[in-house]
Amino acid sequence: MWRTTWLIAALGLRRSLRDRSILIQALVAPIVIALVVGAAFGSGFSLNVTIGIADADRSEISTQIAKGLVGSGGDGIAFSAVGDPQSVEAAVESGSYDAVVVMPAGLGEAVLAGEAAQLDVVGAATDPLATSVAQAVAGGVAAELQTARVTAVAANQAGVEDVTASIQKAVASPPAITVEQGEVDGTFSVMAYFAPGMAMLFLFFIIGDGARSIVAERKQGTLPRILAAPVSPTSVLLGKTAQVMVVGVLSMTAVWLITWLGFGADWGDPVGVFVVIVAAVTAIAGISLLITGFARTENQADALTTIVALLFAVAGGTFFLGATGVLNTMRLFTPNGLALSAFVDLSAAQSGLAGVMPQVLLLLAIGIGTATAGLLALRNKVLS
Amino acid sequence: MRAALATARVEWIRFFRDRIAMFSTIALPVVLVLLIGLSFGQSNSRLPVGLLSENPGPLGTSLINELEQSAAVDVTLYTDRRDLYRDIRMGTVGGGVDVPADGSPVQVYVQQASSGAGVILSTVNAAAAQVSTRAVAVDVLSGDVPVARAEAAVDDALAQVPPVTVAARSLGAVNEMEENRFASAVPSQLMLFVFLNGLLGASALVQARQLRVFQRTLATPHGLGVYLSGLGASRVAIALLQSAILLGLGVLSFGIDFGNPVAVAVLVVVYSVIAGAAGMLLGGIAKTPGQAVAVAVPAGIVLGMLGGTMWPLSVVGPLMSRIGHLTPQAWAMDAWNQIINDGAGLAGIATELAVLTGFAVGLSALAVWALGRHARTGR
Repeated sequence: MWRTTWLIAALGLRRSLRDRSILIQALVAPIVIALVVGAAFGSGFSLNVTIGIADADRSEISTQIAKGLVGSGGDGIAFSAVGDPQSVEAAVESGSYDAVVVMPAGLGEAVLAGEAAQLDVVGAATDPLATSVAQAVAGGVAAELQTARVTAVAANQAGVEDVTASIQKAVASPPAITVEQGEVDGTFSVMAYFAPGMAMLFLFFIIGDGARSIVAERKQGTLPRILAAPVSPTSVLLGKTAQVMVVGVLSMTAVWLITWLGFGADWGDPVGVFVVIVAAVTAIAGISLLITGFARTENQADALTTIVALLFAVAGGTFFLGATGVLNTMRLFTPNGLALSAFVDLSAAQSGLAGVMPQVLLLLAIGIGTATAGLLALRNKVLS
Repeated sequence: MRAALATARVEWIRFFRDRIAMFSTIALPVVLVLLIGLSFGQSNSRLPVGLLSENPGPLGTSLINELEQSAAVDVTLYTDRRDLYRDIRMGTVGGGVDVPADGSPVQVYVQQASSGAGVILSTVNAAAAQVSTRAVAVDVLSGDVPVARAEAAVDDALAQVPPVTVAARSLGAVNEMEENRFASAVPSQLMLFVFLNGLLGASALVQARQLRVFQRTLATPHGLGVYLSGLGASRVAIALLQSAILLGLGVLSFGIDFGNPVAVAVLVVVYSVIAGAAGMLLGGIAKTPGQAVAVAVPAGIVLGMLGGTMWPLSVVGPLMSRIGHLTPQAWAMDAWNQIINDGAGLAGIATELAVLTGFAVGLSALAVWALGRHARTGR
C-alpha cells in the first residue's frame, strides 16, 4: 500500500513542479509582495517633532522656563525659541514648527501672585500628534510652576523661616520619579510577517487545486481505472494528501529561505519556523480537503476555496500589520492568523519552539480534524 | 451598436452567475472597508505606547493614571515583557514604559532602529512632574518642619492654589480623510478591488478563447470590433456597479463627503476603463484560466501596494513613491485626495485625469491588439 501511496504522491508532485501557475503563486507572489512591503516600511518607526517655545511674557520665570526647554530635546524631538512671539500662528502655518508652547504676557506675575495662570499651545489641525506632545510638555512645565507655588504657600503655612530658600529648593528638585531610557535589542523585518502571510494565502489556492484534482480525476475516469487495479482508495487519498502537504511545505520553506538568506529577513529560531510551517500547511491542507470532500461539484469547491482563502486572509491579518480592535481579536480564530501569531512570536518576540507550541498544537488539531472529516467524505465519493 | 449591447448584456448575465466574482466584487470590499474602519479607527493624535507595571507604588500608580489621561500617548497595558518587546520591535507600539516600585527609575524603551524616543521621554517626564508636586513640596518642607506638619500644610496649599492650566488650539481644518477614517478606506479599497476584479475577469476571457469564441465572431457580420466593444462595455459596467455600491455605502452609512460629484464620476469612469482593459489584456495573453487567476491576484495586490491603496504613499520614501506612480492606482489615489481633502473639481485633477486617460487608452489598445492577434492566429 505504501508503495502505491508514494507513487501517486510522486506523480502529483512532478506535475505540480512543472506547473508555472503554481510557481508564481507559491514563490514569486509572496516574495515579491514581501519585498514591496519591506521596501516601503523597511526603515521602521520614525517620528520627528519640532516644538517652538514663544516667550511673550519675558518675565524672570518665563525666561528661565524657555532656557530650560530650548536645547533640552532628544531623539525625535527638538525645542527651539520662536523669534517673534507675536507671529506664532504664522510660524505654525508656515511649518517652521509642528507646534508652539506660548507663555502669554502676564504669566510670571500671575504665578507669583498665586492667581490662576495659563500656558497656551498652538498646533496645526493636520498634525494632531505634535499638538498633543506640545500639550504634554506644557503640562510638565505647568506642574513645575505649580510645585513652586504650592511649596511657597505651604512653607508660609507651616511656619518655615526661609520661604525663598524652600521655593528655590523646590524648583531645583528633580521630579519624585526619575525616567531613564532603555533600548530593546534585536530588529524585526516586516518581510518576516508579510512573506509567510502571503505564502499562506496562496497556499489555499495551490493546495485547493491539488485536493480538487481527486474530484477531477473521478470525472475524467482516471480514478475508476486506478481503482480497478489492486490499489485501495485509501492509498490514493493518502497519496494525494502527501502530495499537497509536500508541495505546501516545500513552497513555504523556499519562501522562508529566500527571504531569510537572500534578503536578510530573520524569521527567528529555524527549528520553530520549520515546525510552524508544517503545522500551518497541515491546517490549510485539512481545510482544503474538507471543502473538497463536502462540495458537490468541482466548481463549487473552487468557489468555496477562493472565498474561504480570502476571508481567512482578511480576518487573519494577512494584509495588515498591527491591527487593533475587531481585527486583532478575530485573527486568532483563523488558521493563518494563528500561524502568523506564531511566526511573530518567533521573529519579534524571539521565542523558541516551546513558546509557539500552543499555536502549533492548535494548528495540527485543526488540520488533522478537518483532514479526517474531509478524507472520509472523499472516500465515499471515490467509492460511489 | 445593438450587437455590442447584446454582447455586453450576455457578459453581464454570465458575470452574475459566477459566485466568486460576485463575492470579490461586492462582499469582500464591503467587509474590508468595515474591518479597516473598525480596526484602525483610532485617532492619530496619540502615540501608541505599551505600559508594563508589576508592583507600582502610590507614585507609580498616579504616574500611570496621568499617562492614561495624557493627550500625547495612547496607553496599552501589558502583563508580559516579551509581548511588549515583540510589539516594540514590530513597531505596533512606538515604545514601552516600565513603571517599577517607587524609588526605582521608570524605564522608557524604544526600538533600536527607530527614532522618536525623545517624544515618549518628554511625555513621561512631563507626567512625572505632574504627579510629583505633592511629593516634592513635602520633601522640601520636611527639611525644616516635622513631616506630618509639612504634609498637612502641603495638602492645604494644594486645595488653595489655583492650578496652572494648559489650553491647546489647532489652526486650520482637519481634512475629511483624517476626520473620517472611512473617507480614506472607501476610495482606497475601491481602487484596489476595481482593478483586482478587472484582472480576475481575465479568467473568463481565457475560457472564451479556449472555446474559440473570438474566431467565431470573425464569421459574424459584425466582426471582432463590435464583440470587443461589447465585452469592454460589460467590464466597465461591472466596475461602475462595484464603484456605485461602495461609494453609496460610504455616503449613506459612513457619512463621507466625497466632494465634487462630477470629478468623482469622471475619475471612476476612467479608472473603470483602465481596470476593464487590464483584465482584457491579461485575458488575451494568459495561457490557461488558472494561470490568469495565478497572475491576477498577486498582480492586483502588488500594484495596489505600490500605488498606495493599502497605505498612503505619503508614508513611504520618495523612491517608493516615484515607483508607485508608475501604476494607475497612485494617480487615482492622488486624485481622490485632492477631490476629498482639497475640494478639487475637474480642473483640480486635470493632470491625474490626463495620466489616467493615457493608461486607459494604452491598455485598451494593447488589449485589442492581444485579443485581435489571438482571433486571427488562434494562439
